Amino acid sequence: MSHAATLPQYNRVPQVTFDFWLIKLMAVTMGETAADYLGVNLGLGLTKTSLLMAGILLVALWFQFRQKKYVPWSYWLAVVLISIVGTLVTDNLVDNFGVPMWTTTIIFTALLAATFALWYNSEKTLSIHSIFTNRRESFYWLAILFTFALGTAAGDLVAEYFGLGYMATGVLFGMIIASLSLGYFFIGLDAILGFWLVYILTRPLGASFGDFLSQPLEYGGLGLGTIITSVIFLGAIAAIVAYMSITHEGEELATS
Amino acid sequence: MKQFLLALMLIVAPVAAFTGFEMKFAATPAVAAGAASLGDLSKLKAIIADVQAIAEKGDLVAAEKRIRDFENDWDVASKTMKPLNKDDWGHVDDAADAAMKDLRQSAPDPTKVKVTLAALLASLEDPSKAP
Repeated sequence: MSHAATLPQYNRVPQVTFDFWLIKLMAVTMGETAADYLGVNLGLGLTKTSLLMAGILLVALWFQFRQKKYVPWSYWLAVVLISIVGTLVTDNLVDNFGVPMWTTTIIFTALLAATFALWYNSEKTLSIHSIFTNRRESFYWLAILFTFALGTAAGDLVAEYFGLGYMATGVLFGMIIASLSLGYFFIGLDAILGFWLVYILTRPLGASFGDFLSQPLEYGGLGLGTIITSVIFLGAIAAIVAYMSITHEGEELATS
Repeated sequence: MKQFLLALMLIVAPVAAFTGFEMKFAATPAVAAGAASLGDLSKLKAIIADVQAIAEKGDLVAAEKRIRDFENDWDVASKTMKPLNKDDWGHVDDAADAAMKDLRQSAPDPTKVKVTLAALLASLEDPSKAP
């Protein structure tokens, strides 16, 4: 018991670096194309595919919670799977259960806000540099899950209701992200608020990019298909994760 | 509170710029009614015509196999077509679901299959009409 208090505690989630955003963006791009591939080609139907991937995600999260510090492969495996499951769940709600996209966007906004409220109420901080208890890590992953669901719903809403194709959607979300980044670097936008907003918005940006790469030429994409796009990004993610593991990039001691 | 306002401003500014740009330069002319509303459907129509020909010969198992090609292409195309015209897309999607459902009965009824396939083809010819 006593040495737990004296040993320095590691933050269980990574520092937010350039590589963090790079890999996050690739994870969502791949999440979108992989979810499309699984939903269409696995032949299990959207509901069964969602349940299957959710099961795999739970196993990955179990591994992640066992690590008591940031371990790149388990952290990013969980993010990639959350990305796939978040996309499948939103697609399922909209396509199979006919829930309007306005509704899903509002529901996920409310759920995300509730998560942050409970998190703050319980821990008196929303800092992502002091995730060193299971409870804080639970809040962290719950927030991540809802940011993915919200990002998917909001992105689809913008693309479909406002009739923007995936290119225009990508440009729009890219512009908002650039604006928030400038706000953080130059006019004092709060780091935690800025982080979570950009975390939500990178989802539709990455998804548009994935659609652009994978959709057939005749529909304005690059025609790479969902398999090749997913495999390329999975390879790139694996390479960065290996690099992070070797260099210990992103590890930090938890601040209290 | 100040932070939330700042964030809101930082989001609204690019959205406004983007919207202004879209309205000024990218104002796409209203898409002509009819088939053009979803873009080029000729490939999809060709597959359904093929399915009809196979079903006509009485081989509903082979027809069901062939309509899977349509299902695949339609799923892929939907990503692009749905945003173009949600209603028209919905008409074709409903017609497609009906046709696939009839073909996938344990003992498909050739008369029903014929009707729903014809309806699907008609819907592809003019997506603006509800099936």
